[in-house]
Amino acid sequence: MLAVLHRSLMARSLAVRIVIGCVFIVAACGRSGATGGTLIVGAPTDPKKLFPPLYDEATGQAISEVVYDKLADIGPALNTVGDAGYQPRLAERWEWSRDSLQITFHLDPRARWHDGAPVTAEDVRFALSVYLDPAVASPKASELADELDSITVRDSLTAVAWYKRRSAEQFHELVNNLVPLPAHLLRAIPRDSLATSGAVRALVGSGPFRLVRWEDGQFIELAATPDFYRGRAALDRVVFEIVKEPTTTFAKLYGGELDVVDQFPASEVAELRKHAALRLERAASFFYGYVAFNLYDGASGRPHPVFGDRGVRRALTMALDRDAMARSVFGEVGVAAAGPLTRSQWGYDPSLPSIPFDRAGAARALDSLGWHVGPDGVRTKGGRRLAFTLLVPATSKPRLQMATLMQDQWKQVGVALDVSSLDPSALGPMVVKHEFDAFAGSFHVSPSPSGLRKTWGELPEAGSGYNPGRYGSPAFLAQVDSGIGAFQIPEAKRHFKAALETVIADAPGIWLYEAPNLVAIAGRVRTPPLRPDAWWSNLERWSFAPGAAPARAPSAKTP
Amino acid sequence: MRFALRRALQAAIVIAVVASLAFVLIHFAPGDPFPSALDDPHLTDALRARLRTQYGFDEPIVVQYLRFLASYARGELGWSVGHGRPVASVLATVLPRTVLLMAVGLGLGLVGGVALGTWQAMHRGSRVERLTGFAALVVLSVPEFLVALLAIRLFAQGLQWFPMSGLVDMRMHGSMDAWERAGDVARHLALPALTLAALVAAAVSRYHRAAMLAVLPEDFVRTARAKGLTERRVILRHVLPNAIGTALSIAGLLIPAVFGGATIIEKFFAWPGMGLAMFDAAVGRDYQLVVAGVVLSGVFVAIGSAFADVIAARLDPRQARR
Amino acid sequence: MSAATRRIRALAREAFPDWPSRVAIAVLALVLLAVLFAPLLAPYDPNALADFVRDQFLAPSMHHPFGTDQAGRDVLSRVMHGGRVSLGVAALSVVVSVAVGALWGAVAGFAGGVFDATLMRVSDAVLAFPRILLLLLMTSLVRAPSAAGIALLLGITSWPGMSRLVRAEVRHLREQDYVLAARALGVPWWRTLRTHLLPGVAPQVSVAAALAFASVIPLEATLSFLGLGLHPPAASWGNILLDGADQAAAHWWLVLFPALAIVVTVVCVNTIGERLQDAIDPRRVAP
Repeated sequence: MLAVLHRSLMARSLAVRIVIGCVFIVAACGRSGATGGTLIVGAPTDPKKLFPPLYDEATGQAISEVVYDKLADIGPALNTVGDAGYQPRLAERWEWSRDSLQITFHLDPRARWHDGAPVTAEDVRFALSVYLDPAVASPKASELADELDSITVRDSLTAVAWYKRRSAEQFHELVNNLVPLPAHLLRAIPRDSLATSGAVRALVGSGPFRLVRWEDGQFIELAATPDFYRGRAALDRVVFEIVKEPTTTFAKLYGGELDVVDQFPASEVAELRKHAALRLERAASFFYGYVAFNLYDGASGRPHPVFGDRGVRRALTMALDRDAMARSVFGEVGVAAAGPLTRSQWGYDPSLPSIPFDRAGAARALDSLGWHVGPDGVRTKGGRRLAFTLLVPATSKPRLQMATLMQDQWKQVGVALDVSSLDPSALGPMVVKHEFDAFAGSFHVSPSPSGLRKTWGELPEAGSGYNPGRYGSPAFLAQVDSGIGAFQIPEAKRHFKAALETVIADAPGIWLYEAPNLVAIAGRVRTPPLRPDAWWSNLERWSFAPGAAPARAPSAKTP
Repeated sequence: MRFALRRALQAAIVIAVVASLAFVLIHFAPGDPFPSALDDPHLTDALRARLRTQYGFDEPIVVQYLRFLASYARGELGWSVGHGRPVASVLATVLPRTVLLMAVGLGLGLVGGVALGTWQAMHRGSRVERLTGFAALVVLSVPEFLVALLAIRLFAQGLQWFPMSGLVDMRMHGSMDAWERAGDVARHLALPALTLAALVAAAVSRYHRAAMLAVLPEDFVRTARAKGLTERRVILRHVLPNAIGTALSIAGLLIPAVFGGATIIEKFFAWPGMGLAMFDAAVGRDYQLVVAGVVLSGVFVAIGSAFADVIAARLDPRQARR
Repeated sequence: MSAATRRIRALAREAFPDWPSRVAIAVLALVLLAVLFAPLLAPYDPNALADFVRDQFLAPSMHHPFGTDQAGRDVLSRVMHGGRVSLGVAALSVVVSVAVGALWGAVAGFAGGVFDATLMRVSDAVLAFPRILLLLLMTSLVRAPSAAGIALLLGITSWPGMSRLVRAEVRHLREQDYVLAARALGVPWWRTLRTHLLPGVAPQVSVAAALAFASVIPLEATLSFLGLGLHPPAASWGNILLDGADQAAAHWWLVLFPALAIVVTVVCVNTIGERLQDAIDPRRVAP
């Protein structure tokens, strides 16, 4: 009897305790949602555009990609040939036609837009029409137009992509560039006013986070999509706070006001290491800096009096200690670029040759080419001084620092360098019109080396290429094209390697550095392994360590 | 009344000149509001040309100018390409923030400057007076951005009295009630406002002290002293009211100065107000936002100088005829 | 002219009676000497890098009293050479501002009427333009602003203040007996302006110029720091600050010394300027 009584008392007290516990949890939930906490990301730029067809810089891309799901996402190995490694997203599976000219995407029936409407095949078809519309002026349009003919709707959950031609990266080009868009919300808006319409700012997506508030110049607040088809994100909210002043960014990071700082500068690494509560993720670099020599005299078709000569270009490269330069500017994380690509691109081969640093050899080479040191210490040939101007964007501190180092090293071999740093708005048109001697630029590249065609292969006049120095080697272009056309990675690699050997030997430019891609993250934030090209790619699986979700501000009342 | 009307007309002309100047300058500056993205081979020149056509930026500048005049005549301020929304809506967001910062910073600075100047006049010749005077001079001699960086380093990073920058606490603001939100903004306002106040106080104290010293030899001051009033009473009751005009007319003239100064303060404290928005707009060639901002600033200047003149006229009727 | 010389001498005696102003003069003289003779006095070539890996970020020492920067350049030498640019730009901009402002104000004040009103509205318009914004827009018009270009821009954005001052003085002097007499005698207006009015405003203008000089130095530094001023590798104090700003936490000397150079110079110039002002017009309501 006593025992029974005791047991029931025990049970009651247990029940009471559970009830009380639930009340606490409910109270906490009522106050601040689930227990996931808010992640604050420091953004160095104010992304003006988040709409997938229109974003044009890294912060915008990050936000756009967590708000909108793609059909499939590139795998951690960053393979771009065929569909190996691709992970299903809005498309739960896909099939290729036998001739590879069609790919059929089967959409995940659970996928929903943030307003609750289902994601349908029509959204995929509609998206392509938006991307390709000239009135929208999407930077992705040319990539898609090169490959795709059309997308048709087989049924509400089945979309078929029809290709113009077979290519090794045809799958990548589609799923990487085309993001399904909510046709039911956007269809009624005239295309030429799409960019300025409220619908584009409202940003109704299909991804793990939805847009809550967008205060331009201040912050962009995202919240976990409650009934997300791939499972609700662990974090409650992610806020991208725009902090442009680097010193302020660091102060906020060290003070715990920021959890993630993207594009963390190498010059600040030593300081960051003093803060035990922070860790540094070194993501793969897809950004390299270079000097492009103008192979022609200004905008004309005459060969440049200095850079028209391959031997001079090689000697100029030889005079630079690029490894030391990268270390000087980027410290411990500095790496000289191996060629017109980064080591994270799959076209990279460790056995690529390079023009080694050899100051005496450079001097000898210039002597033998007829450039002899004059009375003022500068070489001349036929009355022409070996002097030229390097255009540097005033916004790029690493390249400005490198320019100083180049100036000094070239001076030692009798080459006079004049550095002209200009605002990008003034410098851009000069570069595009080839009105320069040498230009210190950088390229943001994709995991695939096929961009070589646009950056160093095709002449700008011949197509949509962006090749400021107008290096137009037919051999190089042919090898790149063979690489792009190859359907097997080993074969593609072989072609790209041959292409890279050609361009490195021709030295139409100097490949200065791979920009270190550093992400500083607060130690209390738990992340799965980050994808090397996009730290945000699995943001839905990030969380705060138990008990470490930031508490309410000390000044505020506790519930 | 006719005086006021003439002032208003003159101000309108000045504003029109300023707006046109801004229009010409920003349109002749190289570049456009679209990203120059030198490093992205996808953003081709053809694409940018298409965008320019879409927004009408490729038309002759005269046509654009006429269109600008027509839209202002209709009361429309235009479209901000940078923010992707109407200029009026951008201004409506940023202006209150700047007014808050300015009102608090300018107010505290004026009161602090007058208090310091008065105190210095009372204790003229003392060591502390000279020291505070020198301190004010040093504050005025340091570039504003260095003052801002030092303040962040010292009071936000070092002593952690204030948040580093921004308008609200990103993490917690969403879960706060109205009172907590106000408190949150106040905490974020404190450092930029106090920095601004320090700069204003340093300037005002020097002018005000000089104004006080200039009144001291006047006959009525001597009379007051002769009546046996304490020095403190003489200064506060007789000298201060007669010297305060300088500080008040500075207050009027400081409105545009604070607007310009607020650019630097707002930029370094990431206070998303008018100054920061205008700076970004000018850098980003957000044509219509820049022009609208300059017009607004012209209005501020006109109001400020009218205010200063009225004060001056009140205090010295001879000035009114000028 | 000798009257003016005598007046200046008297002013100098009157102006610097106390030790702070003398200290200011001494320190300023030292700064000016170091800056003027930088090519002779600076221990290193400001742009020479010995070994940019080994000599990077050396802390201040006997060899490098102000340390070295990221490229291994001697910060002391850079600050000395940078001062030539910063002070030169400031001086030139004040010359421009005084030349334009004095002429503008004198003509407006002397002519009066509609002409005066028009000129003053133009100067109001320039004053009404937020200065940082105006500078930003104007610098962007030039591809790569040279030191002289920056000075010009700073000058032509700062003359309205000067023109107001000169106009007020000229209007005041215009009513003086000797000027009225000259006009009654039929002396041409431009000669009256030159012989009677401009010398009369000279003391005020020179003081205002000194104070303007002090205010332009920080402004130039601010512009450079915002990336709107002289572009690197040209060194000015603002540029050196900008160079070191993001490494200031680890390498304090990159920022402290150029900042000190600015503050010390400006404090000295301000002190001297204010003493001069007191001497010219002790009752004037100004610091």
